[in-house]
Amino acid sequence: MKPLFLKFRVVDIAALAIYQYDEEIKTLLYQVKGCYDVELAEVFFSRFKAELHHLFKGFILVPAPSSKSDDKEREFNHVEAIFKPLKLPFLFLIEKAFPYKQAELNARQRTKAKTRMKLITNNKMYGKKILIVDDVYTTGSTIKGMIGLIKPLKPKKIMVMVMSKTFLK
Amino acid sequence: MSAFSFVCPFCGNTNMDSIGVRNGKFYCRKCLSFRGQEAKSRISKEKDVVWNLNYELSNDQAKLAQILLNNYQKKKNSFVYAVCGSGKTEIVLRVMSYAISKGQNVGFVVPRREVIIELSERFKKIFQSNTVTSVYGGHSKMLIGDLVCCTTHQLYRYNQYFDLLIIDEIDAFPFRNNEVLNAFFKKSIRGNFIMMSATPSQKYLSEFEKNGGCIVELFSRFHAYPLPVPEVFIMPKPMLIIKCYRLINKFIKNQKPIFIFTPTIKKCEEVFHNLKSIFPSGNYVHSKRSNREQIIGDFKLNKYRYLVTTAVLERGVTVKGLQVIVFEANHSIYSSYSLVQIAGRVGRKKEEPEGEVIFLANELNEEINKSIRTIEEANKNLQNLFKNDT
Repeated sequence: MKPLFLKFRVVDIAALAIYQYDEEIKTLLYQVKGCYDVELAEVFFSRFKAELHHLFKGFILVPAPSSKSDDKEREFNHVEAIFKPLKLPFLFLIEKAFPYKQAELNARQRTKAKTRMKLITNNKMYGKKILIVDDVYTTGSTIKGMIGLIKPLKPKKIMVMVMSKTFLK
Repeated sequence: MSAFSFVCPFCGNTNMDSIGVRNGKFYCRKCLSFRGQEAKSRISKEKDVVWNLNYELSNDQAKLAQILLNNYQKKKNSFVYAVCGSGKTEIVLRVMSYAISKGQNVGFVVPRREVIIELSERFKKIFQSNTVTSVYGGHSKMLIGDLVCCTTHQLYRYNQYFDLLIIDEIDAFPFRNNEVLNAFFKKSIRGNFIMMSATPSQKYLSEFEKNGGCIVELFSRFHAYPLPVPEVFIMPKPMLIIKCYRLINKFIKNQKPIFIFTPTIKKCEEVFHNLKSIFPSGNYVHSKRSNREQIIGDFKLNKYRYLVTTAVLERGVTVKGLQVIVFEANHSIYSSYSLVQIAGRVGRKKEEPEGEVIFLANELNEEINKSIRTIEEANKNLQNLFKNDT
């Protein structure tokens, strides 16, 4: 597993991807997400958890929305499990408006992401620092949708961190 | 639940190193990928079975077929110790049709996906009046039938299910030494099993006999020709590919199809890349190649002259007049078992029993020597069998 620490931007927001989404990451992620192996989830960030903790100290982690029934069957949320080693607080601010599988949407369907999600708490995010987190970044439609919902809450800062990013050939 | 011990309800694992905690409960990390739809039990009546075999069994095969049936009727497990291409599949047909006719649950299992696809097609042609269901990765909607053909992985779906389970190539990857696969294998059987292999270890055979099983041996190839003894060429690594070109050129001129075995997926693609500019009519297969079934099918239809392959084609595939080249035969991945299995791909069809097996290596090793000794030994046995016949 070779970490890239790739800096990029999503609209005007600074983003960081740790790995390239390749066969190795795909296999490991399948074991966590598809085979429900929670113990493996910490392997992605364990090597540099202290560094990442300090880099994002003071931020609140907001995971990409996942299906409640999937989380129930799996008995854990995979994004939370992957980012847990960072020892930063989580807030499940956004949820799916209706059940769908991100991986099963095609590129065209993905562009209307904002309509598929909604804010679930009335927490005051004014002046707070928010770190949007997810396991895989492909078209970025999920993240863009989330940014669209969070910006109006007027946080002090928004940043994005994804465990992996796909590189289209 | 005890704080210090846990037995996995699926695979029986008790090793705490492979046990994790999820949502406050223990879970087994060894058999994670063995989850899915389970086969429902079925009650089946006695029925007619019509065999459709367009050739005769040899005397040796017919004798063994009867022994296997007798063993099964006496509720004993059997081990068929037989050379590659001796027609192991044919000798179990008798006991299989007996069990099917009694309405019992019958299964045929192999470790490799490609082999199961090919085998279930054969069985469908043989048992035309019965349902033959094949179950493998990505193809598991139907789980039951008069005869179930599946990969060893799929056995987790069958709990105390099979009255007769036949398993071939038990020493193939991934079944050998795999505790989880072996655990699911045992758990799937409520009756008896028949194991088949050309290269079992002595230790395994003696343990099998100790547990009350019967070993039956079949050393003649069904067409009574000896196994080809591999020819070994030792030369510096850069020269190996050149020797390969020469051999392929010779085989193509003689209209013979060719398998070129390579030790790794990376090497497979590398060698194919080198070959295709000189010999365009070829292709390559390995476990990560998604359309390999299509490619193998096309090769059998003579669409390609050669296939570069990894161990994925080491067993179970039958091609008329095949010639085999093993590239880097001294690579650590080749045990003498696998080299013998690879040699067994040659000379399998009655019409074309002889072919060449070539090992290309930059130095000799014990595994190469051992594989040649094993094959020469099996051929000597064959000669002895003929001596007794006259």
